[in-house]
Formats: sequence, structure tokens, C-alpha cells
Amino acid sequence: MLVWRSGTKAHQQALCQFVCTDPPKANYDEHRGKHHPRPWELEVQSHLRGQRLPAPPGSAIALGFDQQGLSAVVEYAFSRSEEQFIITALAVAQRCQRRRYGTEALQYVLQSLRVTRVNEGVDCGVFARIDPRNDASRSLFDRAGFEYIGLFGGYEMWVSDL
Amino acid sequence: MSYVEPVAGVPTLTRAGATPPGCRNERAVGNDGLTDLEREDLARKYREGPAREATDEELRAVAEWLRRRRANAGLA
Repeated sequence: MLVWRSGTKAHQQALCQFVCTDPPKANYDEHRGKHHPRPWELEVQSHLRGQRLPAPPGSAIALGFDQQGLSAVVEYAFSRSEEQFIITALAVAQRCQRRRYGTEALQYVLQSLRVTRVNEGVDCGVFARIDPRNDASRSLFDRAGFEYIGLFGGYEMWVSDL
Repeated sequence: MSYVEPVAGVPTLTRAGATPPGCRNERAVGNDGLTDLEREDLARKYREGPAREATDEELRAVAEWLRRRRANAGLA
């Protein structure tokens, strides 16, 4: 079980050192040039490490900690014009893969969004964009009850009601 | 050159630091093995990809999916 905290300035250093992919850097391959087996993981890791805490109004970054430190990060927000919620990033630390922390992170977000929906009096659903090569995320969102509704701008759109 | 006592209220000049403000060093390598520039480039790709602003088409598709789902739930 992770302990969840809303990201504050005190968590900045932990977020700046967060690693969720292996290898952590694209390697040079003689035939392919710069190459990483899962570039989408490298991109989300770089995005999260560059985020400043606390998140600006209308968005949130939640951090899940285990006894060794930062284990999972999830970023979510109102979409443009506050019509829907969007989960913009969800990542689990490389050192604690296969512990179902991704499922825990997603459940945490959905719970947070349900409370937001009631408190703010809005009638939003939630969606996320997934890289079509990212089988792990597709399976995670599928298990959580999200549905695939199509490909938009090269990314799969997965939607759920709250 | 002789030492001059600082005078209260009189500002002094400092030389430009070796690193830009915020200790940003474009060639420094983090624990992810990336330089700041490489990391920023990847982060920009992510912000322009899966984390980009929702388009009207995407919002319409989500709203339509929700409308249909709720209508079906109401019939069940």
C-alpha cells in the first residue's frame, strides 16, 4: 500500500530524481542511432521530472510513497474549458514494478476526481491518451473500466465515467 | 588595492555566476543519464503529445461517449 500526498515544494527533489524506465537513457545503437526500447516511458519520466510543485490551480500532481521513497506519480487536471477531467501522466518507479502500484495510482485519481466532481458541482467524465505501443497502460486502464473510443492525433483515447 | 568597508544601503555589483540562475547546467547529467537539454526535449515531446490540450474533436467524442453510456445505463 502506498501513502498518497499532494505534491508540495518539499517533494520537488524526489520528483526531480524520479526514474520510471529502464534503461533510464536512450542508448546509441550502431544501426538505429539513438534508441530506447520504450521511448514513451522516457518521455513521461522527463515530463514529470520537469514539473514544478505544487501544481498550478486546475491540476494536481499526487505522489505515492512506500518505505523506500517515491514510488508512483500521477498528474491530472481539468481539460480545456473545464468540460472533462484528463489524466495527463501516470508512472510507477522502476524499482517497484509489478506491485500493482499503477492500479493503486489510478484508483487514487478516480477517487479524487469523484470528490472533485461533487465539490465543484461539475458533470465531468475522465479521459487519458495512451501511446499505441504502450501495452501496460492500455491494460491498466482497461482493467479500471476505461473504454477505448478511437485514435486522436496518434494517441489512443480512453474514457470512463465517474 | 586596499580593502573598503561595505557601506550600508549602497548596492554592489557581482560578477556573472559560472552557472545560470537556478543552477541550471545544460551539460550536467542527472541520475537518469540525461542532460538538461535532452530531458527538456523529451518533456516537450510529451507535453505536445499525450499531455497536450484537448481539442474540440476530442472533447466532443468524450461528451458523446458519456451521453450514450448514461442513456444506456438509464434504460437498463
